[in-house]
This record gives sequence, structure tokens and C-alpha cells, in this order.
Amino acid sequence: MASAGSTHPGSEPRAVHLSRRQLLTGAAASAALAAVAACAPGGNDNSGANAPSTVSTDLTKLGNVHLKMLDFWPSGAENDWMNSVVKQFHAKYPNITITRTSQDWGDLNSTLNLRLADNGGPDIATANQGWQALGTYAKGHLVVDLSKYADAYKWKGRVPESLLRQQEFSSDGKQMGTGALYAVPVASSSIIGINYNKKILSSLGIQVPTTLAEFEAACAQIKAAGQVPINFESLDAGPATALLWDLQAMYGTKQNVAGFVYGDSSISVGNTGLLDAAQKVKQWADNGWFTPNYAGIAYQDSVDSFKKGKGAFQFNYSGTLSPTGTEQNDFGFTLLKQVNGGSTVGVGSSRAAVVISAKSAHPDAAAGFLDFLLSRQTAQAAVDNNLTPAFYPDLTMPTNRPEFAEEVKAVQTMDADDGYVPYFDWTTNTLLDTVSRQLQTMLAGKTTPQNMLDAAQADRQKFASAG
Amino acid sequence: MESRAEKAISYLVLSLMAVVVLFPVVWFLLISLSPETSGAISLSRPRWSNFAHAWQQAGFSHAMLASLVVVVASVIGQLVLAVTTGYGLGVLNAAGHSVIFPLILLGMMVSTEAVIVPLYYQFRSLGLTNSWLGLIIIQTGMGVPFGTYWMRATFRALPGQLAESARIDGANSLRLLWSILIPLARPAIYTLALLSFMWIWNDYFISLVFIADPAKQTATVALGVFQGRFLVQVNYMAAASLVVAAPVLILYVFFQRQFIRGVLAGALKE
Amino acid sequence: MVTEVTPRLAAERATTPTRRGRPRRRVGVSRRYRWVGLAFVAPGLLLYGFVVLFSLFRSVSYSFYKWDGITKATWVGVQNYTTFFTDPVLLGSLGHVLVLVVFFAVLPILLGLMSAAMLGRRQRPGAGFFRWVLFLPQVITSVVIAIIWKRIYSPNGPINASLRAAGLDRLVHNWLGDFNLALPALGVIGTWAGFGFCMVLFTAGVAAIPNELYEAAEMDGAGAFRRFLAVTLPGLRAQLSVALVLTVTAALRTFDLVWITTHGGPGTSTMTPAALLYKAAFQNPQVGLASAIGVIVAVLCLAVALLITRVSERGS
Repeated sequence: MASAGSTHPGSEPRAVHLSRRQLLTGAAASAALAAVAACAPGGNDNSGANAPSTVSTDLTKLGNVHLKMLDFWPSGAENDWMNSVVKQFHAKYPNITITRTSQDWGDLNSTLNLRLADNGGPDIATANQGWQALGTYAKGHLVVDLSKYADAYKWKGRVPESLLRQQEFSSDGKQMGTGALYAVPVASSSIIGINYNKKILSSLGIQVPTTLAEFEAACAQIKAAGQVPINFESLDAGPATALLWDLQAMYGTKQNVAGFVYGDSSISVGNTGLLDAAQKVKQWADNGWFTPNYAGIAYQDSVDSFKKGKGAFQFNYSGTLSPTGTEQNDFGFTLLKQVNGGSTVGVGSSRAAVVISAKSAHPDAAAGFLDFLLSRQTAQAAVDNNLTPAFYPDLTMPTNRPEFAEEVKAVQTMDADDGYVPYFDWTTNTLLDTVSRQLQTMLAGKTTPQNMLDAAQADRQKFASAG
Repeated sequence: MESRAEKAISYLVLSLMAVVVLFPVVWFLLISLSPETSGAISLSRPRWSNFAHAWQQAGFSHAMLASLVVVVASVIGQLVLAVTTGYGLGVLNAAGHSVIFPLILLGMMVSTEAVIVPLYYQFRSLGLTNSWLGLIIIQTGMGVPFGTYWMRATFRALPGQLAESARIDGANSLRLLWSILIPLARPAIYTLALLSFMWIWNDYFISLVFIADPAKQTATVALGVFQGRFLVQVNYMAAASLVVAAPVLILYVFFQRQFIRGVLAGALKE
Repeated sequence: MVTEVTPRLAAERATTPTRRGRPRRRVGVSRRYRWVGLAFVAPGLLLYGFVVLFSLFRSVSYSFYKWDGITKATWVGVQNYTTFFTDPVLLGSLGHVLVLVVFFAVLPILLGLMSAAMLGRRQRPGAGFFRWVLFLPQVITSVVIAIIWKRIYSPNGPINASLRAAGLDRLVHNWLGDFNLALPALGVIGTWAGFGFCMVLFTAGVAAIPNELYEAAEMDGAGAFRRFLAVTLPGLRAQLSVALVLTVTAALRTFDLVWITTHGGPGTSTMTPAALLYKAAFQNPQVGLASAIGVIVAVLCLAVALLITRVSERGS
């Protein structure tokens, strides 16, 4: 080693020294050049030009078309389901081929605005609803205005109004829940409900609760029996909000929550049930009803432990648990009635909002696929892959999957009653962040439910005043 | 001289440090062999097929090729530019040296996040997004500051008589670089190549932003396949992570002596 | 990020100190080659200018606009900067960096010094093995490191499990979910990943210290510890300054680690400027604010480098 050193005396950067003078010169020189490069960042010039003038629904006449699809269903049941849907679509229209790209939900949401503006970007993409994603795309004219397709394919009659509305934006890009349609839902819904462990409930002689009062009585009994009433985590703050949103839907009215989300300024956050929901969460935490050490548990681990028998209840998105085999007999899924009045309202939406890129050269073919995503075949494929379907009450249901059957029943109740409450966090581009952080802080005893309410209201005001 | 006790304590403490450093890695290896998606360790029934499953699920055949193409091309690009700019600044005292060098050094202080948004818009207008070429250009360009810094210092550390004797021989500047300086600086160049390979291979953020097409995704981005919104398959994630980390680890084993020697060579000769 | 930045900058400056102590003519040719030199520099400079500098300048200009990344931008002057310095979350992220500095800079340097001293000046048998092992975290993708440690810190992970096994139930914590512990817990990851590199850096420096100094100290009857204080430490001044610049700026730029483990939570207790930048750039498109954060981080990095090099130059 030493000899190698001597034969290559200069092989090592020994004279390196970053001096202060050099750093200063670099900074000064770059500052001088900065003036040269200064100019305003641009917007897109295709403003307003994103609605097709004529639309065709005869897909067989389009010739050979290749569509690129970007979605956030990279694995598991959702991946299998979408593969099957794409395959069925191709079987129906052999002239149209679709290639999928899948990315993690967070990754895709962080970069979809860049992708949609790209000439080589996807024709079809899954977007998250709300101002954080779809709203910005619509405002920036990155996605096709689908109103004409909606008429041509008669989507309005086939899809519940409360679901379709989640994808509508006014032409000035200032209002959500009204105006032109910029995305379609798919024939598979995802709602927030309560998974329960049948073994724990039956061992303690507890009936499946249908009201919040019954639920709390059950929790008290479970706690007294030395079991964990509610499997909960808050390390991953985003998913942790499921509990909060579900409680909010029990306290608030559908109209008020929707009004707040869609920007009705006459409705303040105080009318949306958030305060009651937050107080309830805090109370449950203080009662010790949550999983011990919930603050350090990650979302996936929480779901996993629930599946392995920890905790009697878990607030969750339908389709998350997907118990397999005999596990189907061990779990159930239920919704609680609203606190005032007996109707059942749930927080939920389509599994995704699907958009067509304004850059797509084949909007007609893409719209044809969007229509197929609303079809019975797509819903049936969802059922076949253990995902809750939407829109179609008379699908072929499996007989050997009782947990799944309860999820389906819950979703169909909401379909029938048009009972979807939009996700509260769609209100602004930062609300999910604001509320989820407040939730963590409140659970740590460092802030109050009222503080959370104030933070949410301030968040919306800031968003509204920013226009 | 060092006492036996001192020696024993040194080995004890170093061993302890080694255990602390190795533990998480070994533990992760065990997770990657777990039959449970939750990652629960089960020593009695290691499942090696996790690696094959992870490879297939993440589309690593494509992704590894993508990473390899991008990394090899970028490393070559970085080396060429590092040697030429380092030579121009360090040996030939290029005109404007006192401004150019600090300007280049500034690049080492700039984080990727600070430039990625404008970079994306620039490359999009040039049609260089979603392409390996675009990625290679970015990685090569971003490697200039460190490479220049490194090679300039390397060349400057060479004794002056070398260049003088070369000049007496009448070597022109290109030949001086090619046949005298580069052979002498080879250990430092190897080290630079290793470091560049590692940084580019391990990059996640730039690839994520610039590449959308699954057939073009790099290996680190393909890892994201396992991070579904509602599902993290921990054992496969661990297996896939180790697959992605493997090339650099292997290179590290192979080049380790070279690398450490590169750093120590000059110092040890005294 | 930490795993990446540290070696990049540190490696190259490994033997900095010898320069001043050993004046000698370096390789170099006469002034008439200056324009040829510029020709050699041009390709690298142009590409770098195009990819990095131009983007950086665009970033600076973006920072004076309010822009969602899609629709037309509006000029807002220095509003994004005033937002940074008035928003408690943004300002708080700088406070978190100070805590991280202890774990990313101070501890790795101390541990690096200790392990370098223990490896000794001569190649101790097995030194290569220890170097190999301790340096290992540097070559692992930071994304993977974060995923590993997230599991290590989980409530039923190996740390809590061993504490329980040792009967130390009182020390069991929700490491990443605790408002007071999450930040130090992240810091420990940085220490774990970074100290091996400091060790390699210092080993190189120690080996470069002339033998005579040690011999003289030994003749004065100085023991190992005294020799370390009187000879090794002063001899490593330049390496220490290098290590400080690198690790402190790495702390300032921490992203991957935070993003994958806690997303800045619980609350905002582990939020760093880089994580806020990412959120502003890609999650809630406020590109102007994101650019302003990037500019501020860059300026702070530069200031740190200036300060440390200045102190080090004055000391020598």
C-alpha cells in the first residue's frame, strides 16, 4: 500500500482547499448572472382550448390507437382489477391498446401536474379529487373538459349526482362542485367505515353497533374486558384522519360538509361537525380506547395487526382490509347512523377520478375507456377482485366472502341514498396537511379541538383570499 | 508503544461500533427472507423466492437495464468533463480561472430540490423529459462541480517537474493530459468513478420527476411499486431494496481497497 | 440525503491540510496555455451552466412570484421571503436543523475521531475490515436506510423489544411518534450513517501527520491521550473544518430521511426546510415559495461554509 503511494506520488488530491475568497467570488459571480436569467415563469398558453369541439363515441372507427395510462394502483387487488379492466376493454375494441404505468399514490400526486403538461405524458391518468390535485389541473387547463362526452355517453343519468359533482369545476377555476366535468369516477367506490372483529364482539356478547352510542358502549365494555377497543395509529397522519372524517360525517350534515368543501362561504367550519368529531377523538384517546403506543405505529402495521386480531374496531377505507380465505368470516364492515337523525351517511368517493390529458392526441378513444370504467364490466371486475363496486346493485356477488359482502352492502346503501359526503380535505390544497398535523398535536395534548377548528377555518380563508 | 490493554479496548470498542452499524443491515436482510408481508422474521423458514418475486413485481429486468444505461453513460460523461475541466483549471490555468472555479464550486452547495422545478420546465420544452438522454444530461451536468473540484486538486498535487519535463519533450496539451497526467491520476479517477456510480445509482428524486414510462424507470423508482397507497409489502420491499442496493454494494466490496487507497495514498507515503 | 452529501464533499478534501505545510511547485504550464485551458473547461462549464446555474437563477426569479406551476404567475416581490421568516412552521424548521446539527455533525465527528484514533496510525490488523463495515451505510440508498430505521423505531421494533427484554420498560417509547423524541431519533440515523465517513476522513488525516511530532511528544513523556490532544487534534484541523462544512450543510438539507419516516410529524416537530420545499414544490403547488426556501437554504449553506472556513483559516 505504501509503495503504491510512492510510485504514484500525485494521485491524491492533497492541494484542495476551498477558501473563503473563492466562495465569495462564486456567490458574487452567480448573483451577477442571476440578473441575466431573470424572467417570469410562464403559464400554459392553451387556456380555454381544452374542450373538444366535436366528440365521437364510435370507437371502432377510430383506427388503431395506442393510449398511455398513468395510475396509482401499483399493486394488489387494485392492480389486478385494472389489468383485468384494460384487458376486457381491448377485447371489446381490439383497435385500442392501453399501456399502464403505475406509481405510488404520493409519488403520482406530487408529479402529475408536470406529467400532464408533458407532450410525451399520459393520455389517461388517475387524479385525486379536490383542490390539491384535480382542481389545479382543471384551473390550469391540463385536463380535457369532458362535458360533451358526458352528454354523448349520458353519464349524468348513470352516476349518482353527489359522485359526479366531485369532479366539477367552474370555468374560471374558482369553484368546485359546479360547472364543467373534468374527470369521471370509476365503477368502484371507496368509503370510510368501521371494520370489526367478529370474534372479539361475539366473545363479549356485543352486537354490531349501528349508532355512535352503541359503539361507545361497546368500546367501554371491550376496554373493561382488557382488550383494545379501537385499532388506531397516528404516525402516518394522513390515513389517521379516516377516523376524524367518519365522525365528522356523523355529526355534520351532508349539505354543510359538502357546502364547506365546495366553497360556500356562508358555511363556516363550525357548521361541519369537525369540532364534535375532534372532541370525540380526543375523548376516546383519553379513555385509552386506542391501540397502546398508537403514536408510533405506521399505517400498514396498524392494518396488519388488526387483521391478526388486535383491536375490536378499526376506522378504515373499504377494501383496505381485504381479508383472504377464512379471514372473511372473522371480520365485518359497518357504517354508523348520524347522531341526529337516523340516516346513514358516509365519507366516500370513487376509487379515483380519471382524467384525459389536454395534450392527448386521442381524446375520443380515451373517453371511450373512461366510459368503460363506468361500466358494469368494470364494477364486476372490482367485485371479482375484492374491491367494492359502485353504481350497479345487481352484480354477481360471491357467496363465500361475508366481510366483503358487508362492505358492498354499505356502499350500495350510499349509492341508493346518494349519501356520499366529499372528503373534507379537498377544500383546499393544504387542508389535509393542516388537519392531520393538528390531529397529531391534539392527541399529544399540545393543542385543543378548538385549535384544530380554527386552523381549518384559517386554512380555507387563506385559500379563498389567494383566489 | 501501545499497551495490551489499550489494544484490547480499541478492538472492543471498534467491534461494538461494527455491530451497531451492521445490525440494521443484517436485520433487514432477515426481513427480506420473511414469508410474511408484514416483515416478521422467521429464521426457520427463509423464503429466498422473495427476491425473485420482488424482481418480477417491480419489473426489475427493465429497471435494472435503465439504471445501468443511465449510470454508465453519466459516469463516463462526468469523468470526461471532470478530467477536462480539472485539467483546464488546475494545470493550464484557464483564462477566467478565478471566476470560473468559484462559480463551479457553488454548484456543490446547491441542493437538487432548489433547481428541479425550473429544470423540469426547461427540459420539457426541449423534449428531454421521459428520456434516458435527458436524465444522462442532468446527471452529467450536476456532476461537474464535484468532478472538477476533485480532478483539479488531483492534477495540482502532481509535482511540477512532470509537466516541465513533458514540455521539454514537446508534448502538446492534449498529449500531456492523455499520456502523462491521466495515467498518474488513475487512482483518483477510479475513486471518482466509484463515487459517481454510487450517487447516480442511488438517486431517486431526479429519476422520479423526469421519467414516467415504466419501460424507462430506473431501479430506485421501481422500488416505489411496493409502496402502494394502502399496502406496504415489507418483506418484498426489503428484498427489492437489497436487489437495488446490490450493484453498489458489490462495487464497494470490489473497489473498497482502491477507494480507501485513493484517499490515503498521498498521506501514507511520508 | 445525508448519506449522499457527506462522502461527496468529504472525500475530495481528505488531505487538505498538507498544502500549507509543504510548499512545492505544482504541475502547471505557462500563461500562453490559458486560452487552450479555457477550451478544455468550456464543455463542462457550459453543461453545468445549463443544467445547474441557469436553473438556479430561474429558481431565484421564481421566488419573487406566486405560481402554482400551471397557471400564469403573479409578481409578489419579496412576499415569499417574508412568509418564510414570519411563518412559525417555516422558521421552526430552522430550529430543527440546529438539533440535527448535533446528530449529523457533532456526534459523527466525535465518533469519527474516536474510531480513527483507535484504528491507530499504522495499519492495525483488521483495520481494513472495520473501515469497510463502518463506511457501509454510506453506500446504501438513503431511501432504503429510512425504510430500515422506520421499522427499527416501531413500537414493537428491535429497540423497544430489547429494552423490554432487559426489563427497562420505562425507556420504551414511540420513538418516531413522540413530539420530543422524533427529531433526536432521526438524528441518530444521521449519526449512524455519517460517522464511518468521518472516520475515513480522519484516518487519512492522522496518517498525514509527520511521525516526528509523535516521537517528540513521546519523548516528552506524553501518553496516548495527551498525544491525541497535543498532536492528533491540531493536525486534523483542516479535516475537522471539512467535516463540519459537509455535515452541517447535510443537516440543513435533510430530506429523504424525514420524508420517508415521519413526513415532518408528529405535528411539525421534525419538519426541515427541504421537506417544506418539497411540499411547496410538488404537493401543494406554491412554486414561488418553494424556490424561496431553496434560495434561503443555499444561502445558509454558503454562510455556514464561509464561517467555518474563516474560523479554520484564522486558526492556522
